[in-house]
Amino acid sequence: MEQTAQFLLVGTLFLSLALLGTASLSGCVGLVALQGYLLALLPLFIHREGLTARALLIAAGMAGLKGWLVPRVLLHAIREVRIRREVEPLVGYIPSLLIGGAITVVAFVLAGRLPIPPGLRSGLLVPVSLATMMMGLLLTVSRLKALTQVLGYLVFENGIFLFGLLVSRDMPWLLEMGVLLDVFVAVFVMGIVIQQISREFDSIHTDRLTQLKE
Amino acid sequence: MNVLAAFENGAVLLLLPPLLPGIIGKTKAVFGGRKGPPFLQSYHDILKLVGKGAVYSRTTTAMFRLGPVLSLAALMVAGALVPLAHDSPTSFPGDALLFAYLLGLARFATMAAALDAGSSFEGMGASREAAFSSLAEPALVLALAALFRATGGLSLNRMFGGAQWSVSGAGLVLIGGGLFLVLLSENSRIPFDDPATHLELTMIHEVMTLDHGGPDLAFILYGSSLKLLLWSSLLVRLLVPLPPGALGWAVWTGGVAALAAAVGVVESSMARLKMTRVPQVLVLAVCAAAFAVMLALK
Amino acid sequence: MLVCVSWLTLGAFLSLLLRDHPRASRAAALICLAAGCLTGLVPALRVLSGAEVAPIHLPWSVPMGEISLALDPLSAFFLLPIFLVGLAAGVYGEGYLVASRGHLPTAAVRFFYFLLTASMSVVVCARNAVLFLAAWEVMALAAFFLVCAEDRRPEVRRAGLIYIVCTHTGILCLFVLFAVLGTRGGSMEFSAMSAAMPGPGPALTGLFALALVGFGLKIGFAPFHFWLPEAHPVAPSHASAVLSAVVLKMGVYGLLRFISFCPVVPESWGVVLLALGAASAVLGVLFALAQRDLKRLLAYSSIENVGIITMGVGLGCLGLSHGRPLIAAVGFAAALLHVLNHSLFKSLLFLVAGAFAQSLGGREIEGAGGLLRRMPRTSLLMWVAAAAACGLPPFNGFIGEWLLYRGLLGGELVEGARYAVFAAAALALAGGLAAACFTMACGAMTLGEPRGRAAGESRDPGGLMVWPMALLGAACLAVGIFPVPAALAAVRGAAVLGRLAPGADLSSVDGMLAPLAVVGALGACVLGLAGLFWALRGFWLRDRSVETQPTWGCAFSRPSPAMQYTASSFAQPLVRVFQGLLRTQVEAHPPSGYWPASADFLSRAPDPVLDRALAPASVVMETGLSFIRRLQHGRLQYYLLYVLVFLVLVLVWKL
Repeated sequence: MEQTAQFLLVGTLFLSLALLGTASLSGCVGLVALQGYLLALLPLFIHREGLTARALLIAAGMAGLKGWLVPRVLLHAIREVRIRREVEPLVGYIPSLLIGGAITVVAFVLAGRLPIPPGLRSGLLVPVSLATMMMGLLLTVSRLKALTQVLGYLVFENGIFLFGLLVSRDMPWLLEMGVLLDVFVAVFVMGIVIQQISREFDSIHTDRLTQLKE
Repeated sequence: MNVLAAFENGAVLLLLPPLLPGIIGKTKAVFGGRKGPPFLQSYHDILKLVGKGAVYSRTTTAMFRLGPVLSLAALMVAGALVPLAHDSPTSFPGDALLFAYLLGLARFATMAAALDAGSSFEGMGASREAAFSSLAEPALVLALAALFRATGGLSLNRMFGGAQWSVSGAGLVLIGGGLFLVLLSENSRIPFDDPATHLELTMIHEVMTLDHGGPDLAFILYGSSLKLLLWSSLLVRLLVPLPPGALGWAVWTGGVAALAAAVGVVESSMARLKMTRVPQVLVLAVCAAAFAVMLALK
Repeated sequence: MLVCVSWLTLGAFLSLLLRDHPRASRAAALICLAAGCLTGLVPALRVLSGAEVAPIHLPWSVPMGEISLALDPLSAFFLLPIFLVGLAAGVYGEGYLVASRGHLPTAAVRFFYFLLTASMSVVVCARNAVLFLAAWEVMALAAFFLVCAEDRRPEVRRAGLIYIVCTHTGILCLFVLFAVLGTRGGSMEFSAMSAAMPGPGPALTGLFALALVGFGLKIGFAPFHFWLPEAHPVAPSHASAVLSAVVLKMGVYGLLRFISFCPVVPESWGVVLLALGAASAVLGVLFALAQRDLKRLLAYSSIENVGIITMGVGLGCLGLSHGRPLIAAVGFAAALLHVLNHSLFKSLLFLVAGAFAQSLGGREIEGAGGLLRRMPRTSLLMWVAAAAACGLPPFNGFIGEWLLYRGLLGGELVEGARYAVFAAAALALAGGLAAACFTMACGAMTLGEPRGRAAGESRDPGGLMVWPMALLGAACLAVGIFPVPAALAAVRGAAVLGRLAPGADLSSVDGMLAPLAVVGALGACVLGLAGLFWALRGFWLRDRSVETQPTWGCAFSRPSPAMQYTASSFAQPLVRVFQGLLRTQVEAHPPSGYWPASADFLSRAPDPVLDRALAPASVVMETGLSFIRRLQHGRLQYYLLYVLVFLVLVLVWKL
């Protein structure tokens, strides 16, 4: 159990890192989908009680939404809007990867200082969650396209989900459903926004949005 | 450490290496639907080259002739440090770093010899080799650091002393993955370099040895297969627990052969990366190793 | 010890007195140098092998000053590079001065060279702060005059100015540091300093900051490195060798001596030093890779190496603060070993660079080529030094790095300090980049075909220049193959800092050093095996056809030397990967059209501190402070008024 959870967490973090170094948009979407599936498996292994109905439900919800539905929507958007298939980073791939590595180290150091509730199953949960959140933010700020910002947001949400797992035993349903819904709404809105922007400006670069300031 | 084990290690080290390129070639042929060269093709190649005369460029000096010789000598001594199915007899705490730097010496000698020919091709190869290997170096050292933390030993024997899947599975996967990437890059395999390509402009390792021939080329071919064997042995010992005795040799040989086949599978199923993407993948390997260190430090 | 210093001083004055008799003065200089350095080495070696040398106390008329000299293993260890490199570079210098045919002021260069060597030996032996500072100042000024030897050239004057400003900023910090310590302790003797050290708190941090800046400006780790690539290349080559290989180490000595005063070493010092060291190691070699001037490249490579040394010092501090004497000993010993090793191979590299520059008429890497054929001895020695500089076995550079890796990875550090393992990754990256950097420089200069006429006609220099280089090269190999004596000496030196109990703990360090014998033996094995394969190759080829043909050029039939890969193109992949850090500026006019007539390419790597921060800042300061210039207008009456006003103000303030 413990081993499997550790594998899943390491995989999650590594996917976030890989995401920072991936050039193709659809490749990025694939990685995010894979991360969604990994996260979906996590509730089944992280808690001592194992396979409860609730854990299964969360898992199914996560897999359905983040593994299947959201990537489908995004791929659809890529096809429809005919976005160029490259990520166009503001910060180059190698610097992003190096920053990602530094973030990992910082997350581990910070997690060591956080007051963590006792009885926690996997010591990796907090640092991985922190690192995933920070990498999601990094992805959001360092990439030009609106779509990659959605991806960054998703990764960020994944980090929050991990944090939510930490406290999920003490807090009932609300949190998980809230997180899932949040993401869904976000993607929905972003999808519409992307459509709109590309229709108005023939481009989905967010830096063109600065034209709106007048 | 008895004499017999050392003798077995030495014999395997001397005789086995050219088999690995054979296995890789055969795997690629199978994937390509061809019959492919025989397993022992590399032995034939090396023996044939040993029997030949030599042609040297007018530009070259003794450095050109010294390169392959020094490189093979460094690799041989590095080989003496690496545990095969038996532990290495010459191992000592800290030999892992000597191993890394001996590989560096071999590379240094090869690059010097390549530059001696005064050709743009060789210069290009040496430049790429220098760039990529310097990025792979931190990945190796970090992986060693993680292994040290996990096993408590600074010698290759202890660090690669048998897999501990039950203790640190995730870390082991990260280290294994990182080291596999370093193996592919150090041994000039796809996706970093394509040993079978015919266009000089896209080569890395092969282009450095364009002007070598005869016994010098034999040294180079043997040396590069020896290097592959050393890396494979380390990876196999990292990932597979070895039983003692003759069974150990069987598992080890199987593991090394499987690893060579895996390299062949990677080569058949992937295209080589764009040159500008290579550093990214190597940095990813560094990140993986750094992550493994963090896991080990926790 | 005094005998040695007096020989060197005698040499200095003889070289001035005899300046009209070139032969006599050269003979006198060589005799004084040899006698001085050899008599200096004897007590150093005796102390390092465990003997004691009685300290010297002589009265001195300077207030609070006393000529008190003593030799402990730490001082003795630093005497080794001073005298070894001083001797080799000095002998080489005689040949160099002859070969420079009047471009250099011979007598002055000799005088200041002697003065530099003598003052450095006093610096490491001084046990009184006043004497230490005086010797330090003499050393800095002698180095300044050596840097400015060719003061007719504007870039030399600029470099000299930058150097003197930096070194005096450093000395200012040191004055404050020792003044504070001296007033607290009531004596300028070093023995009283330890008692004068404040306990942990802001005062101690302030003192450490002073020491860090003061000695750091001499050591040259980032961000205090910027004067180094300016000043070192313009000095005469044997002086550059001493400046880069030995004078920088005086800063290390000072820092170590300061640490030895401290009864407690906070953890943060170790972290700061380790981080600064790692940053300098990587940045130094990266900038070296972007240089096209051989001596500038070597200067940046010195920054890399002092970075490695600083990492060792940082590791030692971490060991001290965590109460791990073993780790402290390993860290400091690694730093000391690298001090010795770097001084050997870097001085050799500078001497080689000097020989190349004299026969080529310039220091550009790209203009050379094919020198291994034309200057075989010098070029071979360059390769030896380059391999040592890359830390490759069987040469000496590996020994210190191995010990440092051993300490960093060794796992004896706990809690926050365990993250020190990441410094090992920086060390590995620096090692890989150094290999790229030196294959680039040596390859472009010594291999292939000559790219210019000067390169085609160059010849090895005379024996007076070659033999000292050969001596240094042999020393690099000898320390690499028999590392144990050097390592033991370094551990003795480190024991001064680690406050190890001499008997018991040294044996545990010995256990850590035991593998070094094996490392050396395996290094010898590499050479032996290479010899064996070489013989085998000769045996196979003995009665077969061995032809020579042109280099294969993809069937291109008329290759020219200009078609070779240049150093810039060699460095390009790495420069590109690290473009964000290096920010090289490129001016290129690529060939265009069907019949391109001309094309050119120029790349520059401006130093991030000097060119991007300090130079703009000084311009801003100049414009911002220009109103002060109005105060200085040349009228005597106003100056007298200033004096009056100032006096009145002082009176008002005091009364």
